[in-house]
Amino acid sequence: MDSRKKALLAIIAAVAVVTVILLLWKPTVLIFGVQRAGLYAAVALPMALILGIVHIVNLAHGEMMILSAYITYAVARALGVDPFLVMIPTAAVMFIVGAILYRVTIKHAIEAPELNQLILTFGLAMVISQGINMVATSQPRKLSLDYVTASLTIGDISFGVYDFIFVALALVMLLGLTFFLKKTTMGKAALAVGVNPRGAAIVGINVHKTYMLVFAASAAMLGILGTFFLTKMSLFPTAGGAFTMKSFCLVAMAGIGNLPTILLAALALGVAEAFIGSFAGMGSWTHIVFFAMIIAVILGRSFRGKSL
Amino acid sequence: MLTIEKLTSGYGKLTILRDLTMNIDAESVGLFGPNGAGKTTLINAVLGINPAWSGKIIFHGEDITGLPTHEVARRGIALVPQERELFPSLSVVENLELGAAFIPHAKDNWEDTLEEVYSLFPILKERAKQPAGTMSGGQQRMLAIGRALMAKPKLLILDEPSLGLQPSIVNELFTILHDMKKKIAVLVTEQNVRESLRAVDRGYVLENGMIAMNDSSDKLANDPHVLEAYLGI
Ligand SMILES: Nc1ncnc2c1ncn2[C@@H]1O[C@H](COP(=O)(O)OP(=O)(O)OP(=O)(O)O)[C@@H](O)[C@H]1O
Ligand SMILES: [Mg+2]
Repeated sequence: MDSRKKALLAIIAAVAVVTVILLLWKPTVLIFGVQRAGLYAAVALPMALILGIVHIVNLAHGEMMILSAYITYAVARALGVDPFLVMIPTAAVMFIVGAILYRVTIKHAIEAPELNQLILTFGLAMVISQGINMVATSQPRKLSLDYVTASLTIGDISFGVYDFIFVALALVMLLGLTFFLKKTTMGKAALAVGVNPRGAAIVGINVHKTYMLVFAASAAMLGILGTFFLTKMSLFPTAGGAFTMKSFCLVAMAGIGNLPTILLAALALGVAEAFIGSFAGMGSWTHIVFFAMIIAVILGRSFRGKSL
Repeated sequence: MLTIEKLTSGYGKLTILRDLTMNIDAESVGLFGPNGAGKTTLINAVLGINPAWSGKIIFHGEDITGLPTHEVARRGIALVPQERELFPSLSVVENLELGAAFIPHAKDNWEDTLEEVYSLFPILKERAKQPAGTMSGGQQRMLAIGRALMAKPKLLILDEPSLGLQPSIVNELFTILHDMKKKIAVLVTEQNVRESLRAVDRGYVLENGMIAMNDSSDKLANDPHVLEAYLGI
């Protein structure tokens, strides 16, 4: 048995043990954890796509999701319709926003040192969140939708069922992305650009167009996610920052180019957060769970002599 | 077919190619010269990988100077780079498929071309599903040649194709190149001057970024300077 299989078995065993313990001791932690994990994984997947192919850490990732949520909010309120009716148009708008952001900013930093790229996307994040602040003020926004409050009671525990939609969303996104990358010519070309842009250009692939499409497609995914986010969460201009950091944490944990593992990493983060949050008075500590995890990952990798 | 007029190019402040002029018709042409003469630099300038500082590159009557690399490739110039430039995490057959997928005149019947490439290099068919990065160096060289052929090029440029190949395969490779020149024009750089003079019609000798010699392969093979400098006699 090779070490990969051993590692996989160890992970499965650990997950099984944790599941049984939680199921007996704190079943709601498991439910809330899985629901959170769905949201985290769905947000992290487009970031992993950009990192794997364009090799840019997009620090404006969460902000772009919040921007889409505001767009859906504004249109849905103005027209008095359900936000899901606005989801596809928002995704289309975000596709264009993504293409423009790439063309106007990122493209010029593709060959630049990583620090320059980080400063650039950090700047974009500030521009987006402060732009929202100026236009929409810092007042929190929330839609009240009756279908999101549906709940289920099993025995003496009761929980919301709507949040499972994020789990479904993450799975659909993973399957869709995997199909695109493995089965379509455009997807294979995107992978080729990711591993060797010079080789890709030699076989006639337009490298910058590929980067732009990947960036725009990720922005469109964030457009869809923003709409889902809006149906359940309340919006404020800086709500995206935490999602940028958590997405980065998950991508780093999973390793670049490893999309399915992001789901596992998200599960670990979601359950750990729900677990900490389940103790009275510990609610605000959940926000540092990902810090602890990312430190553990970096330590683990440096002991094995691997880089991020 | 390909005309290079007074091409000057280099890196940063360093000039490598000076006012270089050469011409390739429907034939097979060798490009020889010592290490660092600028052979790879010249090829990369044709492909738009390095910028041409001045001068013109004309392919089939069209000025392609300054075109981005993917546009040059789509016009019918395929390159087997010295460093191979494969996609290591993709499978052998995916590498081959991508050789044709973005070339307008090659993408439609790429599966037929694939069979032709497989019959040239049976090992590629055997290893079709293997990640390209796990192939041996020589196998990767074959894959790089196969990927370039997938593009059905009008002009095939090979930068040191025999590097890392066993002598019997080198021999076979030059036979293939010799047969191929009936269909496509070939430009090949080689350290292996003796073998390649067998396969080409004509050769250029590049020294210090300038064409030092330009003659038929027979004449080059008997030239005292070539004999001494490149054939080690
Ligand atoms: N990226 C680069 N930056 C600076 N100088 C370079 C670069 N690439 C090549 N050179 C220089 O340009 C000169 C020509 O290099 P080139 O690779 O074209 O030679 P070559 O004829 O292909 O040699 P070889 O037979 O070793 O492949 C060399 O002196 C080399 O050091
Ligand atoms: Mg060279």
